[in-house]
Amino acid sequence: MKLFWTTLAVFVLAYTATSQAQLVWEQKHLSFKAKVDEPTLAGVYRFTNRGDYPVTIGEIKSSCGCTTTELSKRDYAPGETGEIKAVFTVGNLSGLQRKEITVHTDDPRAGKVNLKLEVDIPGLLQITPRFVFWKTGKSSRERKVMIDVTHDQPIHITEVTSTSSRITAELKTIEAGKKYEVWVKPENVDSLGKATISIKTDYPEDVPKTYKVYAAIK
Amino acid sequence: MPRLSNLRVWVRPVAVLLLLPVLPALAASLFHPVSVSWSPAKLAPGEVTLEDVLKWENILWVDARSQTSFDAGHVSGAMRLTETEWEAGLPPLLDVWQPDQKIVVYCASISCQSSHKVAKRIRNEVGLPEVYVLKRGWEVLKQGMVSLEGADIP
Repeated sequence: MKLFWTTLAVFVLAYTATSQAQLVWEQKHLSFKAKVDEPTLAGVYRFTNRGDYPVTIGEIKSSCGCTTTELSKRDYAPGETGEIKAVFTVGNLSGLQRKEITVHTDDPRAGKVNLKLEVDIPGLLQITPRFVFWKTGKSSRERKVMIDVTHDQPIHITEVTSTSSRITAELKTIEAGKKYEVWVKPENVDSLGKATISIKTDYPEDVPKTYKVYAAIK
Repeated sequence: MPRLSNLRVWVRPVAVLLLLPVLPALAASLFHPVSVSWSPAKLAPGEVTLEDVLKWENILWVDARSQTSFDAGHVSGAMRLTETEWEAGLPPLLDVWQPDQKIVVYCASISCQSSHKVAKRIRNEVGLPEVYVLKRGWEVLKQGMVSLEGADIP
């Protein structure tokens, strides 16, 4: 009985010792809640080389073009500490964003490390539907797009434009800063066509956001 | 030749070690929100089986997995749309979608939730009418019942 538990303990300890990576990370998962007027967010992943030989960091790959990484140097001696800075650009993204950063190293025990970045971006407007369409040769009745401000402050729609002269969009204010409608209408539905409707807002003041609605004659 | 009494000494700890993982597994299957269904025939709302989909003609496949998984293999002609790359993925999807076309969204396996989330957004936010989720996703697709393409597809 004693022999059994001793053997098991030796195996567990041996496995733990051999599977220990050189680079030890303070955190591999960062979570942020973005503020509306923040164009970028930055997070830092710190690590220490706890092994007894140097480690070189190679390629660092992000799962999204919205995330860039910065690393001051590539080689880390035993005991040395370093950090990877991840910069996330909010742009027109909204909702919960989960990104992955893959770090390649020459550490034989952990050559690839996956770092996680989670950013929750508050939605300012609820736009439904995001797509309106007509069938060729059928009814050309205009379509309504509803815009509700979900932010706690009023947001005004300053301009609505269409990329096509054949499909027009008209803004109707239901309650300024709170509720709007955009009426989209094709000149005719004789042939195929499409348009992107841009809905410009006055918020945030320094970089006002623009939202897009799509229209097509199919 | 080991004595029977020695074997008995080992039986109990070995049995304990073998049974230990059963408790959390049982708890997960009962209480986890994305636990695997014990009944393969049971479909969640909006879900369809591959058997159903194979009877349809006009389908637009939507792949809700990562770019890496998509590049390795996907249904021929599938459009990639994920929650995190929603704004980039939506216009190309709308360009190819045709009225009267059914949309079938898939993700990696029975336990992934991204296909359900993407399907819900296509239905509620975009406003497209016929949107379904393929039960078991890529797990069943990779068996080759539909045409596939990608780096790892022979």
